[in-house]
Amino acid sequence: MRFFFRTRQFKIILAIFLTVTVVSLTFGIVAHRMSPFSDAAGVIASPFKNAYRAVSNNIKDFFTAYSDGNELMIKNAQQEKEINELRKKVADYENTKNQNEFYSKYLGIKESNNDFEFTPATLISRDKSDEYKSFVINKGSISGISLHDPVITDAGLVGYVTEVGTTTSKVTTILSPNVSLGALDSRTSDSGVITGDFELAKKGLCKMINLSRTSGVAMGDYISTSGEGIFPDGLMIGTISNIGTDPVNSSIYADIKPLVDFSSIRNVMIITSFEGQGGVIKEGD
Amino acid sequence: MAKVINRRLILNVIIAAFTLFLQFDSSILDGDFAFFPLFPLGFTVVISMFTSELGAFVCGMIMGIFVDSSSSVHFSFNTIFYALIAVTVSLLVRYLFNNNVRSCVVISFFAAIFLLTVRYLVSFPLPGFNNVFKHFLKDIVPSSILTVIFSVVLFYIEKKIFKTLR
Repeated sequence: MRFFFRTRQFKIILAIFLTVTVVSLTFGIVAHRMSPFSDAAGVIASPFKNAYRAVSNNIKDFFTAYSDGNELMIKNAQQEKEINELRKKVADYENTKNQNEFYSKYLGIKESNNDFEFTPATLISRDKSDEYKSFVINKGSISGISLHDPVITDAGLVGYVTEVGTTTSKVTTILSPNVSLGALDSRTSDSGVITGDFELAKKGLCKMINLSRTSGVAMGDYISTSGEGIFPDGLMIGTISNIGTDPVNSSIYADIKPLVDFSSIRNVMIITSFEGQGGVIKEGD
Repeated sequence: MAKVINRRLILNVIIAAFTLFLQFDSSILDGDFAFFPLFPLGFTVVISMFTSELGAFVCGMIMGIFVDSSSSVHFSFNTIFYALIAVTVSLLVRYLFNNNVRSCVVISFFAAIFLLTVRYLVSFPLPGFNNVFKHFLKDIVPSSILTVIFSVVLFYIEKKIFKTLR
């Protein structure tokens, strides 16, 4: 094996490896961007992923509509053809209706937060070996997405953008331990910090820590963002499902059940701009 | 000769695309999985067993780049480690192991264990270390075993391809 390290092949491998590593790490650590190589791969794969995503969603929707109408089909065997045609139309209608509902729900959020600027995006891939349900969306820097932009659905907060490419971006969810965001109990206004936990993430939960011992939080309370950090205030996060005492510092913690179902996310909205955005990050830096 | 290599390349590109699809599809195969095999890693290990060090390196790096474009791990982690694993596998098969299914089982198991452990240690801040041993037994080992099963299937497919298109 020692012979291999003296060969020309090894020198070529080493040269390419060092170049790629240095370039990638520079882009990742300094610019917080995807490496140019992964970015190019994302650009190449993006149209295929979008096309596949659209087709697979339509297939899924069609079969859902098909199974829902099964009983009717048995009763009206002679009208089978007609029903199938109608189902196709229903699937199309449902798609359009869902899209309209999707946008109208965001319109409500937009109306109550005039300073928000949204960019709609679609989930195009998800790493199944990731316990924290991170995913990739089909919008990148050319659509105005930038690092740390909050990501929401009509149900509530999903997470934030952690890596930006030209046409794709990576989203880290609030289930991840890397997340740390200020939150408030909507009923009592008690403040705490939302973060992820490995065991809780498996159950689809996150954690609210650093709650004061005198806080009056209770099961079922709604938790929203407090506006500290990279998120605007008032975004719904979830409800309290369990309350306990931290054995280390005696503070209170609460398990939070997010309002968003991370497994069934298809479309999201990126808040690309809001009042006070970036202020805290600059101070932190 | 060039025609044979091209046909082999096309087949391998199709298999590579399929493994990436299995790993990152978010609609048809989507769901909550307790553990999940690393399909692209299984492919990288198997292809590295049949190619030269440089070929394995290029293949590993390209797979890593594509995995990085969809994976949740940052800083080109997969590009770097897929390339390293590919070259190591190629060297091991050349100098230490025979190119057979038993080697494939051993190498792909330890490659998956190595990648998943390093990924866990590198990706998450200190709170993530709380359950590292539990995570190792409950998630990393089962995921690695599933990766081995996929690698064995791929090994036979790849063997067939290399024999047929020699």
